[in-house]
Amino acid sequence: MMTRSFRAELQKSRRRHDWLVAAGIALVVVLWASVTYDLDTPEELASCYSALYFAVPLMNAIVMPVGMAALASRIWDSETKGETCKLLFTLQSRESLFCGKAALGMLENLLVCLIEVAGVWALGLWKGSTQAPDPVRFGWLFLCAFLVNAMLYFFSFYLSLRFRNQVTALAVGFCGALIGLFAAYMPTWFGYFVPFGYYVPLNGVLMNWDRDTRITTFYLTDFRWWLLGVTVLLGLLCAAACRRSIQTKEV
Amino acid sequence: MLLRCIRAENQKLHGAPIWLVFLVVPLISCLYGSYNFLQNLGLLSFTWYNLWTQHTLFYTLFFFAPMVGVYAAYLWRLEHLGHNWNLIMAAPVPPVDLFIAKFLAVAKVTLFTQGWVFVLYVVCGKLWAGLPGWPPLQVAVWLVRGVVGSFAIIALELLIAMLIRSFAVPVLFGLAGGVSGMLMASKGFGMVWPFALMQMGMNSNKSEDVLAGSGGVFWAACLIWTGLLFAAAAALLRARDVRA
Amino acid sequence: MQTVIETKGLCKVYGRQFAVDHLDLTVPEGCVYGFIGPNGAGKSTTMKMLLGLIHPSAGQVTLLGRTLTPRNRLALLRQTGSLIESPAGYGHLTGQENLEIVADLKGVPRKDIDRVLEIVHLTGDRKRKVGQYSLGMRQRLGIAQALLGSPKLLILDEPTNGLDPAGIQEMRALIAQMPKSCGATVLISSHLLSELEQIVEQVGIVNRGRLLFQGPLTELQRHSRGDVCLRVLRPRAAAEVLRESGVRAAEGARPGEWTLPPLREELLAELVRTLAARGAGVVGLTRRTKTLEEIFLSLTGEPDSGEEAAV
Repeated sequence: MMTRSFRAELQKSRRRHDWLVAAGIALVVVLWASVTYDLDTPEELASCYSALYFAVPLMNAIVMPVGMAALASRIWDSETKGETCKLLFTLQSRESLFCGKAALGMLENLLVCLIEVAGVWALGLWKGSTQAPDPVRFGWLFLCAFLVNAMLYFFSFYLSLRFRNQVTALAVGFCGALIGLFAAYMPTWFGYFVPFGYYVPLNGVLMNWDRDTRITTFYLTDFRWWLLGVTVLLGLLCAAACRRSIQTKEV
Repeated sequence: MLLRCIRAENQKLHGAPIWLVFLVVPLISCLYGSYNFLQNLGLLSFTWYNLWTQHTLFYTLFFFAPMVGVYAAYLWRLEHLGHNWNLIMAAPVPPVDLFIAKFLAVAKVTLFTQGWVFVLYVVCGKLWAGLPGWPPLQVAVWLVRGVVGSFAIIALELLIAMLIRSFAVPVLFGLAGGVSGMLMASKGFGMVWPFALMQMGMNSNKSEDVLAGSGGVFWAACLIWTGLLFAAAAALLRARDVRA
Repeated sequence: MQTVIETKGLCKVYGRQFAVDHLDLTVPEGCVYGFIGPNGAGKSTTMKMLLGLIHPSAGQVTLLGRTLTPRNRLALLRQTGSLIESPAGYGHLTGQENLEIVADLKGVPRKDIDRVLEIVHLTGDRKRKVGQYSLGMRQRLGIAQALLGSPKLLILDEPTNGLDPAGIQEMRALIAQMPKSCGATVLISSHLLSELEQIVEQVGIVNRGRLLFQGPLTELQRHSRGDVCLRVLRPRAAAEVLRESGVRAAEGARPGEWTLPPLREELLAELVRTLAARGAGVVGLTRRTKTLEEIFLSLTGEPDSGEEAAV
């Protein structure tokens, strides 16, 4: 039943160009990251990847809340527009509908994160980074982006389910991005209360800008595993809320 | 004709909670801006100019364009749903009036938003930061320039939302547009890119006027872009078949 | 004969209003059952409860001999096809692709799509996007979705909505032959009795959530008999006959016209024979059929009172 449901979701996504949207989101981040810091001098190139590890989460915090809201709302909106719920609920279990949508959403999320990480890798090569790309750092970048995205995805999905008008999910995601971005410039503890911006406290890089020499240096720090745990927990809560919302939906 | 359309647009927005976004976004932006301004007094001098930069930097660069995208998508979605396209295109008004009416509806809210930004700026500056004196008159000019600069963004977002029925895509376009506007302006191509015009008009990342000496070009660029986009909308409304 | 649908004391309450009020529906196997009532009578709500789309406030539903539970719901629905309210469909996909989704979810081989497209005459439009379909085409697509997999039970909510007269006629013929051609039982709703009269064998009439009548169409037709209009050439002779027969005839707008109460057929035949014999010159005799509203009134009022008084 689950595979059947997933196949149906794939079929529905035809001509909806979801994959294009997902790739677009990732490419915006990569392109933006490529122009944020000057990566020309030997000193700069020696910390090229560190600069990117630092920059990409910041851009994620601006782009992803809206991007995930967009993906989630597209996945649910076609049911709203086609008034297909009443048909689907006679054909498949609500559980399998939720699972199908969740699986497709996570696949899109996976695509976003893969393009992003691959893009960052390629960016370093293209700029001629003298710092070697660290597989562990890349793994962490990928893991954090994927899990925070997943959390935001299910949060937006819930809003799309509850409010017929898709403006709600988009507007909330959009305000979330704003607060998340600002949290990045506030003391770290403040950021812990803004899940939209978890990309930044999870990034594991610190930046120091020396005012006199005008030199930016990046320090690699330890990973905040506990915050990743919180992210997973919040994500599961949101997913459970979505599941419940589909289970109890009256048509 | 046009007046009737405008009245209809206002009617459609009745009871829509969408203006909340316009209220909340500048509010968040100013709360953060004031906080950041006071935290970084070591780096920034204690002036109204620096507070302006802190207040409006992120707002104009990243959040204004998607905010307009939300509004544009919302206005067109009302027509995309149901069979409203048939209704509006069968109404005895020139099709382009529909577009103009929607444009004016968004422009009106933008004007209010800019006013709201100014109010927040003065209130935070006086009461929170306790800046001496009053803000320079120039800020008001920048706000007006921001409104005029936003016309091209509004027209472009409305055009996108008219063509693309998905709600999410115009908002994403806005986000990408904001980023691209920032990049184009920094490379010196601001005048030829609609998303950059509002950012330059607002003068939010420099304390000296970025448009000093090129004011005329700016007004002309705004006019040309808005006119081009209107013409495109009119042509598309005329040429495309109505699809309910 | 087995019953395919049976509900016992089915209720749906919204707030304090009964949308469906203790409904006992019985649909025998192999028939076309007309579910008739005005808009807002609770037809769609009942059909949604039959499909488990909304939960009954009280009562139970038995489908194909088994009580509907959350556990066996999908297994039962796999043998059911439905079309509820407006047809469902993804506007950005073609008709073929929409049917593929339904076929996959039902576990029906995709080649069945050719068959149902043929039945609803959409074969030529299968490659077009559903967003470009006309209302009638969408309705036919909805019926094709219901027909996929040859279900034993079809639940169709006003399936002729939006169809042109030819389409309605075609749809009627299609539904009428369903029991024979596919062995399916059909539950079909409408707000017009006249629309279903030619195809249904069993009828249930519902108003404000209550079942007013349930039984064979022939029985209902007794209720639906309306007044009889009589036109004669010689009014004076006819007036005499009518006075003698004791029928409560009301004079019509023009001389020589009368409105008679809904008489039984034998009685009417007798009356006409007498009128002819006395030289009244009967030139017109038409029976008005009652509107649904009038049937409701006669169903809620005393049955056949007018006729008994006339005898």
